[in-house]
Amino acid sequence: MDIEFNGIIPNPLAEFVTENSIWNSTFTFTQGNKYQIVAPSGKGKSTLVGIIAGTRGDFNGNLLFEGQNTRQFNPMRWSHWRANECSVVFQDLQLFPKLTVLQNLSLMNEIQQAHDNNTSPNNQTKERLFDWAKQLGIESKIDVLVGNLSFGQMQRVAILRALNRPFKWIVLDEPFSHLDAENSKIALDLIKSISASQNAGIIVTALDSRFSIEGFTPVNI
Amino acid sequence: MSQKIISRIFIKTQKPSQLIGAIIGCFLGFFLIFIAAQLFADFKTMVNSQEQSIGSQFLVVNKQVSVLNSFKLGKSTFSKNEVDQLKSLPSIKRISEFTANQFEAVASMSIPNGESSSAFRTELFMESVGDDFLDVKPDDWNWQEGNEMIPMILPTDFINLYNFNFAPGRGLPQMSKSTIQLAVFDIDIRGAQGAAHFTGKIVGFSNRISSVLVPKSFMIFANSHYGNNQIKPESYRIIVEAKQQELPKIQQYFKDEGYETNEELLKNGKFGSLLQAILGILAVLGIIVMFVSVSSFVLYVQLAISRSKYEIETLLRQGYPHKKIVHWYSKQLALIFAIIAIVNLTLVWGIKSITNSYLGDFGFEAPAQLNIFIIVGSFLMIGILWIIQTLSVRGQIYSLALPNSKG
Repeated sequence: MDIEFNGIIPNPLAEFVTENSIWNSTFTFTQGNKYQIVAPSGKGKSTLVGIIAGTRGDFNGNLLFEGQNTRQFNPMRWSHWRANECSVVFQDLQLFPKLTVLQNLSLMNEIQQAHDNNTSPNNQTKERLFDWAKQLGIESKIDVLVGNLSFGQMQRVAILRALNRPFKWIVLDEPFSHLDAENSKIALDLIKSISASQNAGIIVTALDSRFSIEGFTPVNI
Repeated sequence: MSQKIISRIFIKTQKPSQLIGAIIGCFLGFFLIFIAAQLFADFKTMVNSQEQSIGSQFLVVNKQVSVLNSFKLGKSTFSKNEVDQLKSLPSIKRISEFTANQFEAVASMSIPNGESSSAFRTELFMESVGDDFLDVKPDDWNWQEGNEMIPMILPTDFINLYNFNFAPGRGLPQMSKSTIQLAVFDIDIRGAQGAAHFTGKIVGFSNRISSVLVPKSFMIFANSHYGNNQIKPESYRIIVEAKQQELPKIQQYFKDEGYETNEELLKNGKFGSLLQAILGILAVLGIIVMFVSVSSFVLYVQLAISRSKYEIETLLRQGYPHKKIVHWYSKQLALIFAIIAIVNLTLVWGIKSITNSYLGDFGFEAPAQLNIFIIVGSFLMIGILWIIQTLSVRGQIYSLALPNSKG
């Protein structure tokens, strides 16, 4: 499932599009590959994530998933894309603060059931989820309300939620902004290994080109 | 499918007080309409079963007497056509013409007054009408050829006039109804074909008809034997039995035709019309309140969804199918509406039972169970509201499920 950008110009960026950018050009994200979107703030990193996630439609040009134009997608198709094909960690995380960490993570099981994916390969057992939480250092917070966590802890919950489902792409918007170097590395390794096991592609955005990630293709916007 | 977590997410974002307020508002709107409709249905049943005993449905009708009549230019009798037309009105059940005497009649009597006695003597006018139209049925209300005594019914107003106006002014004794019924007086009749002597006796008093009534059999006999055959047997007055609930219609008809009715008697009928009007106003009020409360409920649901916008958007962004979210709301709404409908009907039934037992004391009877149309109607209306609400929720959530093209 490749993602193709075909002359896309987001409306808010129409006047600021420069050459050598993903905007207003043709660019294909190939499934199984890893990409790092590098740009200073205000250049549209989150916009790009929103376009791929199907939350933003305010752009000219076409977005194609495996050759299919997303403008023809109905809500059910988008729902399937979000639940089974493209897992996203939004910059503002979009967790449910009034639910516990475990409830936020279990929600993905409910969503999988809603799509009748009872035998999803990545529908992890509770033990597996605890193991991941342990790797990321938040296993003691599993029954704490998300609203009571620090932002760094929340980022790890959002990453876990994104991993706890089948996906062909995982798109992460500034996922490590509040993590220290060690935790960032642990999280990235976990993301890479799970993605590799599903032959999924990774798109990650970072504020600064100095934080270029090894093995990731840089994409300028 | 378990929707445990999404229930938790949505319920936590709502304010119970607002939900309860919206439910009560919606409930009140429906309640007013259904109680008005049920009481109206009961009232109609009561009226239909009690028609015979509600005197006010009988109207005595005559034509307006104008200056023309005084010069014998206008006609104040009802022609056959006019009577037939009245008979054909759907709001009139039956009709009877008054037959007046076509002969002279004089009543006389000696009243003992202290040492002297004063004679009482008066010309009489009499009328007869179908027995079915009388509000009193005295036992001795019959006359056959050969009987000397004529039973008579006087208007109640007549004895009141005598007792409170005439007798005190003349120094005559006041008389009760039973005293009057003891008196026997002479009646002499004289007409083109001869004269005869009878005696008369008051056997009853009518509230409905203000006329001196004699049995129809006597009137037919006397008119044919002594009457002036040159007088056309057309009636000056007729009595109609009208359908209670159509009184206003009939009144309008009479007005248009220039007929007069005994307004006093209409007052009782007006009570029924007034009750209908009050129930009508209640129903109109109910409809207005229902519209207000239903719109406020619609607004509440929209507000509830706006309040949960973050949660809904987040669920959709994680891939939760929008149909399942619509389904969740639709289920909650169905539950709320089912409760509203059931509580509503129970309460309407309760109030109806109370009014039934109260009105039962007055001899009115209405069915104990709820009107089937009210039951079906309430579920139908609430069902329609549920569909509208679900569609509105669906529209809101559908728009959130697609990429936002406004940025």
